[in-house]
Amino acid sequence: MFGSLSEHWPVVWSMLGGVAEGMLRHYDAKCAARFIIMIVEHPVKACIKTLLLAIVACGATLPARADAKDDDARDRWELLRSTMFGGRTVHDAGDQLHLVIPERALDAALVPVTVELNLPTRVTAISLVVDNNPSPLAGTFRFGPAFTQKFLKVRVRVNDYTLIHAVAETEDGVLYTTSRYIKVSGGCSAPGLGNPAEVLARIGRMQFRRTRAVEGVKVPAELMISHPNYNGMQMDRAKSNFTPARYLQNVTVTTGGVSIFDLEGDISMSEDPVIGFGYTPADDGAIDILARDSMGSVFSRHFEALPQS
Amino acid sequence: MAGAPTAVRLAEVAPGIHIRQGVTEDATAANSDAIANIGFIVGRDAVAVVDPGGSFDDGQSLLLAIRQVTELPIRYVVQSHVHPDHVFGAAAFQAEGPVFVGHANLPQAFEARGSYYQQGLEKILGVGRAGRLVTPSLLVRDQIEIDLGERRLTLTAHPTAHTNCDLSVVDRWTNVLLAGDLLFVDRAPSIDGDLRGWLSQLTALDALKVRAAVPGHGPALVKWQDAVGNLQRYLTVLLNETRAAIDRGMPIEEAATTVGLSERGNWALFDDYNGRNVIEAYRRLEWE
Ligand SMILES: [Zn+2]
Repeated sequence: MFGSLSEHWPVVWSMLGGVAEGMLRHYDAKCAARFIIMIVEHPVKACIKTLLLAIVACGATLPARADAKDDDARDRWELLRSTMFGGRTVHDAGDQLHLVIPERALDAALVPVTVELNLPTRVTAISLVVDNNPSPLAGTFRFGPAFTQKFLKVRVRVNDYTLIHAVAETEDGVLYTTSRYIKVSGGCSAPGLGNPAEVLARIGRMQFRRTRAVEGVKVPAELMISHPNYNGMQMDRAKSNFTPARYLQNVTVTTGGVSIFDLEGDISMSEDPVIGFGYTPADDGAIDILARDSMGSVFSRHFEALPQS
Repeated sequence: MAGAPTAVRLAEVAPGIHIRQGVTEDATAANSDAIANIGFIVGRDAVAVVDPGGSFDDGQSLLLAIRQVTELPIRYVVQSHVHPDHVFGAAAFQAEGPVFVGHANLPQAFEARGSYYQQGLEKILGVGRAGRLVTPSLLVRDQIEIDLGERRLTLTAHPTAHTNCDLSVVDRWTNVLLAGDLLFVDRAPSIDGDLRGWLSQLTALDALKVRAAVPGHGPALVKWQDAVGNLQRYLTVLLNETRAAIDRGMPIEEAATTVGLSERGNWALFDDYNGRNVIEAYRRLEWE
C-alpha cells in the first residue's frame, strides 16, 4: 500500500504517525482516525496536498468550534489559503463572484451551494472550500470551452458553523474569492442510514437533465450521480473500525468531445452528488460522463443531446 | 444541570400501559432529552419497556417509575428505531438483565449513526449523562410475538418508513398500538427514511383497525383515526408538492422554503423540520 513511498517510508510513516498521535492527544479521536484513513487510502500523488489540508483542518477544528469568532475564522482561512494557493494573492471578488447559500443549513448533509460568475475574464477553475470541515476542499472544477460562465451548483456537507469560500482562477492566472457564513443546527451531518448493499447496488447510476431556463445559457443542466461519498467517519462497531472513505474523486463531462468541466472531488460533497451548470453543445450535442471514485471504480455514461433554448 | 433522576409522572393510558409524555422541545441539558413518548407494559409475569428513553437519566427515571408500579422483572426492552431520543436510555436497564429487542436493521443503523449521536448528545448533556446505545440481541425481521404472561405483544418490523428500522408494538389484550415515530401527533414529523414508504406503512397500520395509539411524539394516547389522518395529510402534501416542484424544475433550495407551507399552522416546531423534510423527499423523488 505504501509501494511508491517505499524508499522513504520509515521516515514518512513515523512523521505521519506522530501527527496522528498528536491529534489523538490534543484534538479528538475522530479527527485522528480520519487522518489515519487518509494516509492509508489516498493515492500518493493526491496525498501531499490532502495531508497538509487535513493537518490544517484538524489542527484548527478546536478553536473554530460553535460560534466561531471572526478572528478564528480569518486565521483559519489564512491557513487554508496558504496551504492551497501558497504565496499567491487571492483578491476579493467583490460582486463579480457571488455565493448563494442558506443562512442556516436545513440539512447539514445536503447544503445547496450556487456560485454565480460575473467576472470579465474567463474563469478556468473554481474551488469550493468548507473551511471548518475535516476535509475543507469540497472540490475543484476546471472548466472547458463548452462551459457557460454563468453559474455552478453543487451540494456539500457541512460539519460545523463555518465560512464557505469559492475561489475562482481566471485565464490570466488571477485568483478571486468570495465567502459566506453558514450556521448548522444540531451539529454536523448525520451519516446516511442506507443499507450498504442497496447503496452499492445503485452506485454509479446517472441522470442528466435540463433545468429551468437561465438567460444567456444555451442548455442549463443537472448531472446526478448515485454515489454514497462515504466520508470515512462512520464507526463500524462490529469490526471496531471505520467504514472506509469512498468518494467520487474525478468527474469529466464533455459535449461532442469538447470539455465542459473536470471535477476533482472530495468527501465534503454530499451523498449522490448533483451538479448544476450551463453549457453550449458542441458537435451533435451528446454528453459523455466519466467518473472515478477513490476505490478506483469507473462509471461512464453517454447521453443524447438535450434541447437547446 | 439537573439533579439525580427522579421517578417521572406516567399516565396509565390503558390497563397496564404506562406512558410518559415527552416535552415538545428539542434535546437540551434541562430536559435530559426526555422528548419522546416512552413507557412500559405490565403483564402477569413480566414487564416490557417500549422505548427506554432519550438519555441515561431519562432511562433511569423510567426505571424508578416502573418500580413504583411493579416489582415484576423487566423481561424486554423494545427499541422502536434508531433515533437517540428513544434509545439512549437503554443502558439504565442493563442491570435488570432484559432482552433488548429491535428491528433487524437496527444494529446496522446503530453502527452507522451511533458515534455521531453519542457525540451530539454528549455535547448537549455532558459525557456522563448522555447514556449509550445497547445493541439488540432479539432481532425482528418480519413479525414476532412476545408474552408477558397472559399478555401478548405483536412486534412488527416495517419496511423503510420514518427510518429504515421502525418497529411497532400492538398489545393484543387492549388492542392499543405503540406506534413509535411511525405516528407523530401535533409535533412536526421528521423524515429519515422514505416518504412513500411511510405513507404505505400508515395504510398497513390502518388495516389493523386499532382504536387507540401511543404516538412517538404528542399526547400519551390518541384516537388512531384522527391522528393518522393528520399525518397522512401532511406527508401527502409533502409528496405531491415536492414532486410538482421537481417537475417544474424548481431547484432543491427553493423547494425547501416553499413546499408544504399550508401545513405550517398544524404542527409545533414546523420551521425546524419541514425544510429538512422537503430536502429529504426531494433528493429521493428526483431519481424517480
Ligand atoms: Zn424518530
